[in-house]
Amino acid sequence: MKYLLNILSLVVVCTILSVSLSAQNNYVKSAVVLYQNQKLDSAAIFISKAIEDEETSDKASTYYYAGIIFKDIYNKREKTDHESPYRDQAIESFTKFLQLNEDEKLVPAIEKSLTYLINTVYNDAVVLLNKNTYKKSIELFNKYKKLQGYNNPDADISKIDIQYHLVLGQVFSELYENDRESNETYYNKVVETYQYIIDIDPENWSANYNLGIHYYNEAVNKIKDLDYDLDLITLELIQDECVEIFKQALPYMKKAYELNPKRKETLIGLSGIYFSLNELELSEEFTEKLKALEGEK
Amino acid sequence: MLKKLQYIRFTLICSLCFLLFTSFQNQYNTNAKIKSLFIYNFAKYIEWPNTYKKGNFIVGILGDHPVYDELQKMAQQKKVFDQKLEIVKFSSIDQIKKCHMLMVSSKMESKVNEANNKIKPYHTLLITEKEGLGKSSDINFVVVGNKQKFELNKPNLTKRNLKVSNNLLSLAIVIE
Repeated sequence: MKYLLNILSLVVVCTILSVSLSAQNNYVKSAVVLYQNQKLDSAAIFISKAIEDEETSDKASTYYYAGIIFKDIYNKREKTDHESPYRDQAIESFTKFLQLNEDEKLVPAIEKSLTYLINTVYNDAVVLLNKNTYKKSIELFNKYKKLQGYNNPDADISKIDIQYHLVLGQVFSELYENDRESNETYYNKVVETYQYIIDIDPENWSANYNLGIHYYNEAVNKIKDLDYDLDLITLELIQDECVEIFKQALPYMKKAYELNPKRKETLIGLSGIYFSLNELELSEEFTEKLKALEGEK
Repeated sequence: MLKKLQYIRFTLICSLCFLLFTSFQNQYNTNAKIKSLFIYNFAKYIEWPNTYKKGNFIVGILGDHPVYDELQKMAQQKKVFDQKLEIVKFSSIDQIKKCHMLMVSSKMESKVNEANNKIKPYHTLLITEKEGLGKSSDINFVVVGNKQKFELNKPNLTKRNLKVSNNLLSLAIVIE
């Protein structure tokens, strides 16, 4: 069934192509004929020549065919290649087509194709969002944002941006926790990532909570790792440092509580932070709130 | 296509849920760890009479206290000079036996005087952790500016024939 659909769409595309071929020069004609015969590599070579050719480089139809040929190659061969040059070329060609085109009838189909290709960039960014390939993922996500901004400037991608950065924050956090001494730079990356979300949406519960926990964990880990032979002067200095970090955690955890007072995690977090700050009455207050909440369920 | 995007968004949401649950594994009693380090330093910077320099170095804890677990972990690795560190939990005043230090948990603060009477025959350092108990005990943990500090009652330590090093005195809130 899928095969039949492919054949059918190919016939439709070829029909559209042959209608307007008369006005094209040899490069475009050759590319279309080769494409009709499924000689995709040769079709790509000829359409690339047409793009460079003075006679056809400013014609919308050249980019229309180029987009179709490149997109087809991407779909058939490079779908798993996150850096597919054919996808880039297809996006570039369709974008150029939309700039030059004067025939409104073709616009919806090309916009749909363009949206599809841009979404594959987003999908790849998400697939690569892990400890090993996050750098490539960021690159692709920024590319997605740039393309989306150009293709659909009115679209609000802040939700996607926030979701992506929440997971990115988690990736940085895992990298940091794996080896806190060697991966110190990730500590700041976690802060920057959650702060980026809070700047976009100060009411984001997850970012506030996660940033609060990040600071809290940092101070807790510093205390947890203290050597038994530590002298009291150094202990005093480390306590000073940790008090400051616990204080950094507090406003974010308080904000998370303000945003959703019924989340157990925030009550536990606030109780923990106040406990570590030796504000035991406040710590107990949140422990009681937690007990009350658990009693409600 | 839509299904794939939905799937990927679903994966993102699952990752976030995972994050919320993994973050809690760091629940840890920071105060207990800090107090255990203070206690180990007290053991090093206070001198007990010669008869107490043999056998195990015993730290008694009256009542339930998270510092007990921290000290147990410490006892597996550390010694007080040549003495093996031994941590003993006392559930009541009657159970208290001869030890180098006795820590009375805040929950047992009403028993401080009884504990004090019980350890009178020994050279036991009495540690408390409640604001205002600095006069009754030898060392009292207090909170100053969100930090753990300690009051040291010099006359009480002298009565017990315990010598304090100047290093420890310089960091304490001394009660003369």
